[in-house]
Amino acid sequence: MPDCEQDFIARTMQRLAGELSAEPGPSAAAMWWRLNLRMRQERARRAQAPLIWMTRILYLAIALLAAFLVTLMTQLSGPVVTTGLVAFGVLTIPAGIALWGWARSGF
Amino acid sequence: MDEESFHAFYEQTARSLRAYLRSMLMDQNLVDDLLQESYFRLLRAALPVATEPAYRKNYLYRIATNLVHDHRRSRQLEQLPEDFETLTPAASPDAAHDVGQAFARLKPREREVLWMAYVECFDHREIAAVLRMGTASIRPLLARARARFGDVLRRRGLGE
Repeated sequence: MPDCEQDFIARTMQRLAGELSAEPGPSAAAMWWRLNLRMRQERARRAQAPLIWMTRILYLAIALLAAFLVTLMTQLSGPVVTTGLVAFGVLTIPAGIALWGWARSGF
Repeated sequence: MDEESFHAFYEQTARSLRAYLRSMLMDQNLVDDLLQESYFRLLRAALPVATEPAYRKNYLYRIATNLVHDHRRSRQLEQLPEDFETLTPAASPDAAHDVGQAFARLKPREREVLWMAYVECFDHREIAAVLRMGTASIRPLLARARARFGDVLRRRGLGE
């Protein structure tokens, strides 16, 4: 490619850059403030992450314990108690799932 | 990076980075979002204080370019539309607007390499680092981009 054409492209690019740079953007102070806010939010989110996981593990442990107790009680009791426990489970499990979903959505 | 050094670095780079994003994207709000995201990721990366300004700037452009690529992938936007009204300011002269339209006809990779070579004056090694390409492939890519831009400008009556 001839040098003059290369110069022409360079000048054209500089002119385009000059046009686009003329638009005002956010100031350094405004950007620093916004970035600091985001950094603080991210730090808070990171700090909360272990707590969220601990809560999930706690729920899972409670669910497993409950399932174990229900199984144990059905082994030890008669058909009336078994039916009652099954009905209780049918009612509470969907409600639990709904509440869990609601909590996940952030209310 | 403390507030004072951020201000200095931002004053040095923001105007040109914003113009770069503006030349790659057509959505004004998106440009400001990506500008903020670029600086946010740079701060989060926590580069050592002794990092050379040139390396920091190169790193910033790499972040911005990746964000533009991610945006293109998410929108399947490989080519800007024919109507390039949003790229150049409304009050700009017609010739500048035509140059903006001609620039928009290039492929995204061609626009990136031309911008980095002729506006940011990055050398081939720096361009390769930003675009995550081999250094040897920058020369032919740049030559192709120049030739194509020259063709587009001539077809629009803007060539020399």
